[in-house]
Amino acid sequence: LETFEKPIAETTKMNDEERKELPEKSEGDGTEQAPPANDEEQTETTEQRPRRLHRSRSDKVLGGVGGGLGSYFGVDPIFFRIGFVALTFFGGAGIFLYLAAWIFVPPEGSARAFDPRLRGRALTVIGAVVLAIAALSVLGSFGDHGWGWGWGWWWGAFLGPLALIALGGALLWAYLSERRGDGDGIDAGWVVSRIALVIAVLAGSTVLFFGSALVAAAGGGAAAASLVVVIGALLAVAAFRGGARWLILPALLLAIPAGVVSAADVDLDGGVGEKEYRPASLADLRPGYELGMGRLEVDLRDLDLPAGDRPLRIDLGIGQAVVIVPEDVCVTLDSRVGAGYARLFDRDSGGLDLDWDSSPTAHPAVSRLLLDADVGIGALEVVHDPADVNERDGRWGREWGPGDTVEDSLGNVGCERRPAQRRRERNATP
Amino acid sequence: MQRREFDPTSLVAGLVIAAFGALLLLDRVDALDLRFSYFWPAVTATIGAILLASGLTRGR
Repeated sequence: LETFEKPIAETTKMNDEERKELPEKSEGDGTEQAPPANDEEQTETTEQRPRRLHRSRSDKVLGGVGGGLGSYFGVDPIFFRIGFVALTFFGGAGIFLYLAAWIFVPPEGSARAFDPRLRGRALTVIGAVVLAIAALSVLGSFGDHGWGWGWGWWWGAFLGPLALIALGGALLWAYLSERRGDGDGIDAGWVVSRIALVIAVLAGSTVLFFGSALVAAAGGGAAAASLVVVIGALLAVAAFRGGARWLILPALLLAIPAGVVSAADVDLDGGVGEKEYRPASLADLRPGYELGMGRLEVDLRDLDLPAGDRPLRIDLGIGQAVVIVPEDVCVTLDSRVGAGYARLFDRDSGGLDLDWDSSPTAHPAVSRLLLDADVGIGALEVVHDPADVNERDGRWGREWGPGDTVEDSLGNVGCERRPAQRRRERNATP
Repeated sequence: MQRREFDPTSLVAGLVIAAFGALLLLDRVDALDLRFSYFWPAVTATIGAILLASGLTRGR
């Protein structure tokens, strides 16, 4: 910002002092000088120091953020206000940005970025907003398609991590501003030791976070959960002895990854790597295939499946599971994908908590594969042609519409057609 | 931390974190099936409650 601020400060000064002496020159580099409507106000503030972003005290609707941005950029604040409101419809981003600006941008007339009195109020407001969003997302999940208006997906991808960052930031801020009240005497040694401590805390947090996820995925979820309960109880007890707020961070760093692993049902049994199976005969076909992390491919094209039902289980913790099925086999699917993507021939969907349960019928003379698949985080792909794998049609996160079921999968050609489906096929091929 | 004052933030945080841990434990012992549709709101509610408590606890 330095380079942007200086020329304006200089040219405005020149405007005032040297206008009479050098009229030609000031016209020469005139682009920056085109006098904006609030020229006087700008000259006033830029004379002593570089122009700074402040929250406006006079031109405000809520916290004066829009007014401050408006006078900083010399634009009508209404544009910023509309912008914040518009961004609110993108998962509440506008609210978070506004609150961040409210907290971090100092009010007009104050050089300090952090107003200690504001901290309590800001935390209260943020806490209330976060709680309100939690309530909204629970209400939203009662909608027709489970997710209401898409909150669930937003949570996983964007708002959840944002809430975490907000909490982490608040804790760090509370920690770093502890000695701010003592006055201006902050010595370099103190700052360095604090920064070193913050880096150490971040490193420890990262280890704790991924360690907890790994332990939970390897089957230690109950132990991790018990530890969280114990830390919670300790924290509650410590409240009567002055408190131990620092315990909040390790507790959440344990609880959240363990929870993600639980919600996605990630199970690392079966090892790590890339496994491909292409059974050549029925004797080679196992009842199920399992992998902890990586890519699991089961290719059934060499098999001559007899008529009737054949169960097959697929179990993958994290990664991509591909099942390649001959064209003349009808597939029923009972699958759970915790987070990611699932495809059954020409039908696909992505998001969180993807459950598919489809049991189309088949002619008695046709073989039917009863696929029971479990993928924690990643993709499940049931295809006829391996070239179709990774073909996305951009419907990530799309929900099924009414009547838009897996049974309608036109690619599931081995199955018996329902009348509505036959009608549609006839219309599709004139 | 030598003071023996009562700290409401720690109490609220301890209770919601213990409740959150209990939720995870119930999933692991198959008493309920934790899903993202209520996992994320639970995370948010926990964090929101802690922030709210610390915002309302001033004077420390």
